[in-house]
Amino acid sequence: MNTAIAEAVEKGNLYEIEDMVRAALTAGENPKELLDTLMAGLKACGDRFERGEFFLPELLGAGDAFKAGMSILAPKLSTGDRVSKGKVVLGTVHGDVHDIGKNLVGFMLSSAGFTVVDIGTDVSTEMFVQAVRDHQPQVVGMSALLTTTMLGMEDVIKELKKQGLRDRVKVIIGGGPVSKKYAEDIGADAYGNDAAQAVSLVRSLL
Amino acid sequence: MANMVLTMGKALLKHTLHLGTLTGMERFMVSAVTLADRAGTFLAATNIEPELIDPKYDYVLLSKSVDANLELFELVRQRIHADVVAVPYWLGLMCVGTAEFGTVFKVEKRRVPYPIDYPIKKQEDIAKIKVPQQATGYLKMVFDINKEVQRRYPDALVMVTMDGPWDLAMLLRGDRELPTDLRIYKDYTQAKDQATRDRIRRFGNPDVYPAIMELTTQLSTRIFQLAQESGLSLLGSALVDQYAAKPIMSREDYFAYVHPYRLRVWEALGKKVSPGYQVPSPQETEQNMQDPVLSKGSGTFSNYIFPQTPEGITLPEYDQPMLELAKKYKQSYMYMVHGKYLRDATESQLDVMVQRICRMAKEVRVNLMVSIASVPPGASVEKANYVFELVEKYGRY
Repeated sequence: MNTAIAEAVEKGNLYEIEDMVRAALTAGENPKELLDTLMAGLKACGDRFERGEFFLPELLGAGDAFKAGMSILAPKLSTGDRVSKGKVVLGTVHGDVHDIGKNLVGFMLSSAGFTVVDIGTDVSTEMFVQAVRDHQPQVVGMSALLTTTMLGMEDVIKELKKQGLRDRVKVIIGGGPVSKKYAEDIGADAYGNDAAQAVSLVRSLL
Repeated sequence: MANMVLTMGKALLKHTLHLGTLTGMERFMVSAVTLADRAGTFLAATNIEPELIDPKYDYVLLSKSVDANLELFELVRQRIHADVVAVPYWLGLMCVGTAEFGTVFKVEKRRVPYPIDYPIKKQEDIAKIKVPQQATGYLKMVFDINKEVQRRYPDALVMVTMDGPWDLAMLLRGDRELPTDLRIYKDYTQAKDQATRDRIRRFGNPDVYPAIMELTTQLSTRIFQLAQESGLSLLGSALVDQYAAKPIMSREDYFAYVHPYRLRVWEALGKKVSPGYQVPSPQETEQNMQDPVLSKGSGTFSNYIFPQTPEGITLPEYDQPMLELAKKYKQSYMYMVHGKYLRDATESQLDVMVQRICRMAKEVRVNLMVSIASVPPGASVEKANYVFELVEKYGRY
């Protein structure tokens, strides 16, 4: 593994990663192995977040560095190189624009090899349902920071049932006001206490 | 101010000489000096969803009317049996003034107002925001409400709680962009050579972060000054930067890139505001107490952002060290009952929780203040009062 590239992602070295990936490709390194290297860097960053060594700016940096590296690497990859561990649609429910928690969860899942479709904040029930139709994820994750907005999670689950989509997707919920009991009450499949739990939670559902 | 000093003197006399039962505010004041008669109870009125008091009060009405906020506060005072009920307005984050500087909030009847657009998109936008000469809009509304509360209820706790530089910046720039600005600035200032700095400039603008923080330092200072100019006291006021803590940023980054700006606000205001800094563990509480500025801040002796169980209770192993630290530093331990636990727990579960924390505080002989972080839909005023009644039952020293 090209440890310099992995370390550049881990440390959010957005500024040099493109040149490093270009140089590695020129030197004949295998694109699939370079992809694994970029992923390893993301995972190392996620692990440090879990250990309380890294915080939001570091995660944003690693995410940006990964994207920059991928912008060079992607054209060189073949279809079989990118094996996703599963697809997760993530969004913050209607009336709630807090996205820090959702972004942390998205980062943790991406770093563990899941394909994350982030549909943003203030997402209506209809948009969640449409995203499930369009992206066909295995898991849909809803986030809320407010006790009033979290009530929208139940609406999404009801609408997924009504549209006949509930059986096709697992639903996880998280955020400050959300609890295990609330998840059970509204019929979600699981509840995450914090972003660090996201990966094991999703793995357990698939 | 004179009223408060007088109330404090009377309260201490009453407590020392056992001249009757302390009122809620007297208990609150006594606990700042010595062990009170029992654990106190506190509620920020704004943390109750208005519809739980009376459905006619929605956020659209409350965002327009000073009188509606005052009426609702009066109803909360009548119905909530806490020693101290404070924060008499329901404006969400509009209360800190950024709506007046261009942050766009969406106001819906049943959702607390929330920001949907931020005025600083690029560096040039920073200069367009001017430090205000006078309070207008929601800021004026907050000051007017506080002043009227002070007039109507002379013994009420009126706290000027306003955002510090980082939290204002989050509301003016956005919570995705500002941490990125910080990272670019940090990388730039730590770069080993000019070539690296030049390279960083191709990916982002390192000048944005210090320019925003310079602006918000001035704004934060001025907002507190405007509160004073409108007749409010800064006694008991709090400078809040709740997003400058973990997991948003490390303690090291806080001290390097946020604290210096907060320090300027604190000093400009004659060191009268409480420069609180929330911590996620007793270890950091101890660290705060070693700091000459943060040791004077509120929020240090609170479990508010401590890790929780999935049910929403602070991890039980945190309480004993916090109570002992509170005793060591002659502080009260503010124990927050989280809204989701209030909502989900049965009465017997609440009983167990309150009984436990009260027993521990009594054993350590330290002041405990029990508060409720929010009374959300699905909970009730009665359930909140049940918690406060439990404190009265179990919290006598």
